[in-house]
Amino acid sequence: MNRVREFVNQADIRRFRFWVQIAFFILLMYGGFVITSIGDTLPTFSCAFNEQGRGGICYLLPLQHQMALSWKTLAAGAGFAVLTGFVTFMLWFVILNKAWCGYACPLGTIQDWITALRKKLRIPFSRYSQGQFRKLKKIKYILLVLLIFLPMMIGNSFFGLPKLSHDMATPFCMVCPGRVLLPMFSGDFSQLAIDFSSKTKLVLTALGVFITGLFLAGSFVKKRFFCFFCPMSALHYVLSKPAFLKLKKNGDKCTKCGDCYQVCDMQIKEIADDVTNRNIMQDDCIMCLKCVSACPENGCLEVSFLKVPVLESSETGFSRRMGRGSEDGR
Amino acid sequence: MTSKLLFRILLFGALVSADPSRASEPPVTWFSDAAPDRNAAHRQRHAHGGPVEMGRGGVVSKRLWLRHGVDPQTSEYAHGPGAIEGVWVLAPDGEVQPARFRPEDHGSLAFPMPQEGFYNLFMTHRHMDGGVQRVSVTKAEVLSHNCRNGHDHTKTAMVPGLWNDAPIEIIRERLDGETFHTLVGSGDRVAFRVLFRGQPAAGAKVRMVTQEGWSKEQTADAEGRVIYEMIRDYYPPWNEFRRRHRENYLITAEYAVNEVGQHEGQPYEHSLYRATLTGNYHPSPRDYASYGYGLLVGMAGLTVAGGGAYWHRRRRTRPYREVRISE
Repeated sequence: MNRVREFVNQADIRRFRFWVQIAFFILLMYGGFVITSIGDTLPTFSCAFNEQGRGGICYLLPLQHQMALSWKTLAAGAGFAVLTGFVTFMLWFVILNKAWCGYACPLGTIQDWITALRKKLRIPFSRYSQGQFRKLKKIKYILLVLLIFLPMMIGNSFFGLPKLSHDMATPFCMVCPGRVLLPMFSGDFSQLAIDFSSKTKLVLTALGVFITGLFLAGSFVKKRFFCFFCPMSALHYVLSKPAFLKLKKNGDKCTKCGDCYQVCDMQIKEIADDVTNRNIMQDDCIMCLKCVSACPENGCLEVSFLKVPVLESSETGFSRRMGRGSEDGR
Repeated sequence: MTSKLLFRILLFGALVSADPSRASEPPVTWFSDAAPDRNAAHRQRHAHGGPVEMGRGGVVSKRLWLRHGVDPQTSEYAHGPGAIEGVWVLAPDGEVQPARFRPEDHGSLAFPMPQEGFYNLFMTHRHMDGGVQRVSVTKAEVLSHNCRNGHDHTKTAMVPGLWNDAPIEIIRERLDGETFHTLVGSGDRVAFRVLFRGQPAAGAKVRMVTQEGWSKEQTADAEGRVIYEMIRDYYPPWNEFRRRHRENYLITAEYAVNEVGQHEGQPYEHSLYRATLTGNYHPSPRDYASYGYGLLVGMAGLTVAGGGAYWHRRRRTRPYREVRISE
C-alpha cells in the first residue's frame, strides 16, 4: 500500500491532468456522436448548444429554464423535477468537487491549451494585482444571482413589474463564450451569428460574441482568464462542503516558501499564506492540484477522497517532478 | 385584403374545377390544433410541438379539431365528419389505441400524451361514390416534449411513426440533424413520402397548400417521395417580426387503384385513396441572423482585449536607462 502511495505521490500530475482533460474533452464534446449522453445536469460546461456532439449538458441551462417557470407551475409538480435535477447535479458534483473545473471542463481545457500556445511563443503571462483580484472575484457571484433571478422574472411578476421576455430565458448561456466556441469543435458555427429578431436577442447574442473575443485574447495573456468570472465555479464553492474530494493543508509543515502560489493559475494567495485552516480550498480554486505537486514539504498539502488520502506533497515527489535527485539519492 | 380573399376564392375554384369528378368528392378533411373560439383557446398552454391542455396527474393532452377545406386559413371546423371508420392514436412506443371523436366540441379529439416523442393521430373514412370506393386517411403528427424530461432520448425518438394498418399515409421525413427543438424554416427542403399499405405510392398526386394560399402539385417518385422547398411568405414590418411565427401547411395525396371488392354491399372496381397531413414552418434563421456582424463583433472583442493587454504592457515597460556612478 505504501509503495502505491509513494508511486502516486511521485507521479507527474501535469501529464496525468493533460490526458484526463483530453479524455473529458472527447467525452463531453464528441460523446454524443457515439453514445447518447451521460446526463443533463453536469457540473461542468458540456454545452447544450453543441447539439450534435455533446456527451452531456451543463446544469446551468436546465437550471435557468426551471427558474423561468411560474410559481403555479412549480407548485403543480414541476417543483419536483427541479428538485430531482438539483439532486442529480449534486450527485455528480460531490464526486469530483471543483476538480470538475480543473480536469473536466472543456472551456477550461481550451484555456489551458491557449496558455500552452502562449508558453511556446515565449510570451509572458499577466497577473492581477491583489486589489483587482478581490474585486474581480465577486463577479461570478453576481452572475450566479442574475442567472437565477432574471429567468424568475419571466414566469413571475415581481413588485408589480412586467414579466421579462422569453428571449431572456437563458441569460448566462447567451453571454457565455462556451455557447459560441464549443459547438465549433463539432463543426457548428451557427452560434457565431447575431440574432436580430428582437432587441433582447440582439443585445444578448452580440454580447456573447463580444465576450468570446475577450475570452480568446484574455486567455492568451492570463491563465484561466474566464474562470474568475464563472458562475458555475461560484455554485461549486457554495455547495462544496459535502464533496468527497478535498484539498487540505497542514499549516505546521508549511514554510511559506510560496511555490504553491507561484504555480497557481488562479492566483490564490491563501494557499501559501494561510497556515491555520485545514480546509484550504478557496472559491476560485479549480483543484488542478498543481500546488500539491509543487510543494516540497512532506504531507503539507493533501488531497483526500472520502477522508482517504490519495495524494500528498512530498520532497521526493517534488524533486522528481523538478527533474532533480532527492536528498536520499533517488 | 379583398385581393387576398379573391385569390383564395379563385384558388379554391381552380382546385375544384381542375377535375370534373371532384365536384362530387367529399371535402378535404384535416386536423388543426388552432382553437376555434376563445374558451377552447383559454384551456390551452404553450408547449413544444404546439398548444396542449393539462390533463389528470400532470399529463398533458393534445386536442385537435377536424376541419374541411383546402385552405389552412379559412377551412371550416367540421361538426360531423361523415362516415368515420375509426380513429386511432399511434404512440411513440408504437402502441396503437382507439380515440373518440367529439362532435359537440366543434368536432374535436383529445388524447393524453404521457410519453416523449411523436404521436400520430389517424382518422379513416370509407364510403362508396358511384361505384368507386373512396378511402381517406386524415393524419396529424404531434410532438410531445418537455425540456424537464431531458434531451438524452431525442436522437433515438426522431424516427417517424409508421402505422402498418393505414390504407394510405403521408410521412414527413426528418431534416438533417433534426431534434425536438428543430423548427422547419422557410427555405428548408422538406421531403414527404406517400405510402400505400406500407409500400411507396409511386405516381401519387401530392399537393401542398400553405397558410397564405400558395400551392404546388407534384407527382411522387418511385419511392413515393416528393420534396418541397418551403416558401417564405411572412413579410411583416420589422418591428412586428416574430421569430417563432408559425405558418401552417396542408399536404394532400391522392392515389387511384384498380381493385375489385365490395363495401357496404356494393361492388367496386376502382378505389380512390386520399391522405392529408398538416404541419407548420417558421421564418428561417437566415432572415434574422447574421454571421458577418457576429464575426465583426467577435473581432472587436478580440481587438479590444488584445490591444488593451498590449497597451497595458507597453505602458509598464520602462525604457533602459544607464546608471553611472560617479567615483
